[in-house]
Amino acid sequence: MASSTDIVLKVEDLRVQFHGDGPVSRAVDGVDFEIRNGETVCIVGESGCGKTVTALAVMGLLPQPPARIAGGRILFGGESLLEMPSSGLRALRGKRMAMVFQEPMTSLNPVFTIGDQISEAILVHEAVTTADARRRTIQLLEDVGITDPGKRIDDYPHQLSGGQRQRAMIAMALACGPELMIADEPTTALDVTVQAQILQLLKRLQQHSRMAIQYITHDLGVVATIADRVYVMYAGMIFEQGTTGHIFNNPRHPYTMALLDSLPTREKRGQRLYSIPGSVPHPAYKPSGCPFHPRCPHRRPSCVDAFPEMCDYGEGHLARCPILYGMERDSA
Amino acid sequence: MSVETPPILQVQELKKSFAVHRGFLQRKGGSIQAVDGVDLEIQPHQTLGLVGESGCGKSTVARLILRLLPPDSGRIIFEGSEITDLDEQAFKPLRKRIQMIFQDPYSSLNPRMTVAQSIGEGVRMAGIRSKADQRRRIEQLLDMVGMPKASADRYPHEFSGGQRQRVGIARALSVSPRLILCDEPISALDVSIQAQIINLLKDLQQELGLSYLFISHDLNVVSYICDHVCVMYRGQIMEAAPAGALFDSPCHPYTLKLLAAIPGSKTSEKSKSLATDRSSIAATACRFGEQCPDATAACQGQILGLREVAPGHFVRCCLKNEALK
Amino acid sequence: MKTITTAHTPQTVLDLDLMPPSRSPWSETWRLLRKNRMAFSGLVIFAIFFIIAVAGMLLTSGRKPVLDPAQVRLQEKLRPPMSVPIPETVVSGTAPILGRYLLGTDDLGRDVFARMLQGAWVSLTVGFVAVGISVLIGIVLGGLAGYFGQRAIRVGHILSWSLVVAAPILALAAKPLAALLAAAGALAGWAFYAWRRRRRGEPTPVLLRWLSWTAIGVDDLVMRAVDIMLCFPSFFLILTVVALLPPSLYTIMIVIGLTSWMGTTRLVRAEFLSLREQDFVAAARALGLSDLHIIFRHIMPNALAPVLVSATLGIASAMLTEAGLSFLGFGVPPPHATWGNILSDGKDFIFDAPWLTFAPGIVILIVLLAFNLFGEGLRDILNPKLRERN
Repeated sequence: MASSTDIVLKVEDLRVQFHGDGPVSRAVDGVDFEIRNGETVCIVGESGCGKTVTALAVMGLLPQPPARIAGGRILFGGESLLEMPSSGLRALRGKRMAMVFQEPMTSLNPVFTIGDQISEAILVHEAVTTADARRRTIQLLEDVGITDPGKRIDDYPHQLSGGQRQRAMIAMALACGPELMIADEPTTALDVTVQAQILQLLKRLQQHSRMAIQYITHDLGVVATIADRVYVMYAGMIFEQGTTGHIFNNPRHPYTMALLDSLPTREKRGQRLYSIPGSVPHPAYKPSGCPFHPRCPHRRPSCVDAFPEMCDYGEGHLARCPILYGMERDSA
Repeated sequence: MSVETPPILQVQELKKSFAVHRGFLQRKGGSIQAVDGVDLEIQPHQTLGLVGESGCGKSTVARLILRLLPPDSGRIIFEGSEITDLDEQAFKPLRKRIQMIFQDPYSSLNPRMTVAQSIGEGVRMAGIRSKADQRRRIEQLLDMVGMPKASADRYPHEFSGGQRQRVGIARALSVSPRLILCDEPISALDVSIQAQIINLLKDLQQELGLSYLFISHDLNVVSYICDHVCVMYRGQIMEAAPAGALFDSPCHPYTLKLLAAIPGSKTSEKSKSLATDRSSIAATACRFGEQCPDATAACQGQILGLREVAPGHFVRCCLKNEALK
Repeated sequence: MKTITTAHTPQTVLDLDLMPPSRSPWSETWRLLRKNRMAFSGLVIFAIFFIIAVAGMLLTSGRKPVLDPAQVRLQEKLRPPMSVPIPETVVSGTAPILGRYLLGTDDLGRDVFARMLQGAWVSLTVGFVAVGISVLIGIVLGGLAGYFGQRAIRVGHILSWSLVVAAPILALAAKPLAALLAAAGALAGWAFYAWRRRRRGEPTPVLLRWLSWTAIGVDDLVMRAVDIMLCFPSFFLILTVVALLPPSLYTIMIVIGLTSWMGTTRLVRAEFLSLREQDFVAAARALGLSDLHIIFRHIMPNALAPVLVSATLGIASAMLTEAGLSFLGFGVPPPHATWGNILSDGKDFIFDAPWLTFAPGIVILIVLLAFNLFGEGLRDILNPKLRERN
């Protein structure tokens, strides 16, 4: 087990609620996770499961209201982010932790060159001259694999392709050498071949620095490619956590199993795909007990009322399904 | 390709370019060749996959077949009769035989119409006159796609993406089509919902004997659901083969690149880096030339057509032509 | 008719009991409106104004109106609000109905309350009819530009249509030969298009090719007309037109309507352009539905929301324009009362009889504010980004 000093980010029992008209949406409902130095952690889940809200809460970017952090702690390098004044948080954002968003077109400002935007990120946080910042920007663009960075630095976002824009976003996130990068579906809007290049780039960058990456995605294929450890989220909760090997080779939660079974692949050709019945619950209308119980093939009467606790399978592999845990223990 | 039964749809040398408008006074912009000589053939009760990345023209092909856009040239032959030059009046009865399912379930249903009204338009087009019969048919269609009857009087915004996609499928089925063009029908849906829709499409195909043109960028899904696959790149078919052959022995460098890019695949670790001197390659007739890791000076000046490398397996690559000789 | 069915037992995909009660888009709008206090109070004020205006029209019109806005009582001039008429000076039968001048009297001793009531109806009709005209023009032109914008108007079209128009004019001008020639030309043009339609795909003979040259796109034509109309300072255009035409309430309404359609046209065109690219329109076309059905059933209902907002704001501005015209003396001719000419008459007595200025001024302010609040609120409510997409 890694020592606690290794831990970059630790989130404990985070709860985020949205107050709009109608019932309160419990978007994040008691999430615990930690990310260590130099590690890529994937948070995988479907739309509305609370994965993006979690990331925004960590960055301090949640719009409040309508959002409200109803409980829990976020520890970044030992400091509690939720108690930090907004000025301290601002100094942290962009310097020690950075975020890459899904849509590379809208997250770059169209009226400034990419060079301006990246060097701005450096100038805000560090006392360097404009010339130094420009030199570092060119270096950063080269690092993220943009060819001819000396020329590209003066391009406007619309002059770049989608993949190049996302590379520029990554360069901006890397500008001050952050300890943690949060990437929220950075390749979802891109073509598969470009996605493969970006994933390779992230891996390469991580080998150079000891940066930790929190990678948010819904795509299990991406998870298998990039993750060291995986957290599977559903309805605002972590359902299963473990190494990539644990999750893909030995899943312990019915939801994870069902997700893997329902992936269409060539090998399953001719067979009927397993499909999870029903649909993802709305955060304001979650089922009681285990939120997955209406869709679960292993459902027991007790699932309707009893809140499922995390069950430990050892080696950091945990799953929130007491039913399967009990069956496993009985057979052993 | 084997010619036992006549294909339900044949597309020959289809071309479409879009003019790039540059405002009022400079109307003569360039033009983009979105679809550049595409040939397709869909056998009855089968699924043809059309694979490619965004902007390669695969959605345009579907819209050309449906005559939502007029083609520049080429022939579209549906159930043995040519439909390319039919005017709207003559094409109208055929419209009911070809339907489409769209990618975005949020924009494919009119937000101001109930589910019953949306499906009802198709039911009326199918010639069902009496209100009671229409209602019965709407409920039957909802049942076919796994939606409860009571959902008929609700509005689209009350449903999730997967449920809306089912309503969209019910609307397409309302005119009893033979061929359904599926334009990325599952890529906007949640992971746990995708399998439901795939299963639904397969069930409907089996029970109704439908043929599909399945447009997708996801090779995993295509390898699961399709019988034949065409790989498209910048308006041209690069490789066309039965699904088995395409995934077992892919020939075109672009297909290889796509397969390597599937996340989680074994080959995704290393992709070939491009050769250093590419000045000569830029001048080739090959659309993929600039991106091609295998391109050599030999590609220059070659005429590129689809060549049959194995029975039913066509490739548009001059290197493969060389290998054949 | 053969219809297809399946035999497979479908799995349930949703539990309707778990869903919130069904709401139509309009009832949802009503619910949001009730929650938006500003917009709702605007709507309430508008409703009150509407009732007053209708009641005012009924009370002040007819042979023997209950409240006669034209009754002159020279002895009673410039009485302050709430004053009781002096019994000795009032001719019997001309006393105000409630025994008091609620808003005082003007320099001719006319009851300002009765005149305000009459003016309310004028403002209401001017606002609604003028905006009705402008919205109608806006929807038709904007819809044409948005839906058929890519179609071209060709040289031949212009030629044929000008001949069609020219023929009756020439006939009226008693030039039978020229009229016959024009009619023949128009017929030839029609024959040319019928022939072209039948022989699609064949090349046109070189000699006739110039007929198929594109003169201008539908979209360009409409939008350039909008640009030209926007170039005129519309208030002065209205002044000019009103000065030339016989003054009447209807002239004012029509002129205001004809000079304020440009904004709606642009809005409708933009909505049509974005809506016609939506997949549900493509689906409707794939089902084989006609253009008219698609426009009226699929595009129009979705395009109406922003039009409604701009119409609400437009009513306020039309009322203001009418008041301005009446104030300047170009509006509805006296003795018919409107808020603008009450204000105008009152300005000479602003120190002696301030109620003559303040009564119409404050009412105009309140009604316009109500309309603008309601319009702004409606814009927020109908904004699809605020709607939940669950």
